[in-house]
Amino acid sequence: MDNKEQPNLTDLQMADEKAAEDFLFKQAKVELNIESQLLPPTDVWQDIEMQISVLEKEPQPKYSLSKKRSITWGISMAASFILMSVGWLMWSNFHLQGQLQQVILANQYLELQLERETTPTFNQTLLVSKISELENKLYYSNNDKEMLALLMARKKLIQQIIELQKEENHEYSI
Amino acid sequence: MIWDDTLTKRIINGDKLAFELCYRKLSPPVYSAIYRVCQDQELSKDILQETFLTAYQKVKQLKQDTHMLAWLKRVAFNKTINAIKRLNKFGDDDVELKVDPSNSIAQSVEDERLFLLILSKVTIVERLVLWLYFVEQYKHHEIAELTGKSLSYSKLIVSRTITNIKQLSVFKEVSNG
Repeated sequence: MDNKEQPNLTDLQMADEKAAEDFLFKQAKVELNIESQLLPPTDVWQDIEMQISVLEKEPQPKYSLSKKRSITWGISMAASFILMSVGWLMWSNFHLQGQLQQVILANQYLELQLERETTPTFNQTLLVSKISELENKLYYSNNDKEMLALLMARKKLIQQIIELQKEENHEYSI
Repeated sequence: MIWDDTLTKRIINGDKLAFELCYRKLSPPVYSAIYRVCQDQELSKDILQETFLTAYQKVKQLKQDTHMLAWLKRVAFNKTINAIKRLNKFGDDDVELKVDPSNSIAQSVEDERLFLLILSKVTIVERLVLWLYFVEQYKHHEIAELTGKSLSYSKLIVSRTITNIKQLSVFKEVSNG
């Protein structure tokens, strides 16, 4: 006989297990019959009724749990946004102060170079008048960014004066 | 037990009388399931009470086509699991099922009470798994989802029970016809 036709030990065991499982399912099914059902003690409903009336007397929460969660989420998001903004502002202010310091130092250095020259030319005088205009603006400025821009412009003008001085020196040397 | 679907609609709409009627009709099967698993009257009473209170509070979230008894049983089994956790019985080592081959077995098979006899011999967690699998006919993955245990956990309990049943002479007689 062919081996395939003959059930092996595993097949027999599986069939055996299936039969045992079906047997238990059949036995367990009885528990769903009305006759097998147990009646709960009578005082349970009374307790439930009492607790329901207590629940109904309690004031209902103004917001549901999900709404409360979304409000909390919104508040925490706003708080973290404010924190981040404050942090960024502090950092940018610190950075601006550093830049201002550097430009002031550069201006001072250039001023020292200018002082060496005693007799200014016409072009130099024009530039000096522009510088004094900028200084006037600087005096009335309260904004750090504006001050930085004015100082940068002032630095450029002083550099131009120095360049002009150097060119004149070269002319003499030629 | 005949369940009227209009009753579900009335309960969802907040009809208290309909809820009481629901309790009268559906509390016996729910209580039986809880009691068979817990085998403790006081605990079963508490779980039944919690189940119906939760049902009263959450019923508005129900869809009208929901099977009321299945939903109530689901709530009850969740409450049972919580109670088992509170009692610290969830992590209990499994007790080996030993059904002694006495006359009581033959008698219990005769009056179709063998399943209850098996339930009386195992731990509360095993009882819950066996009840869910054999009576409520939950699949293993559904039991795993409900109990928070692994898939193999319920499979192991069921297969061990089947192995024990196979060894019973009464079963051998029945299966041989």
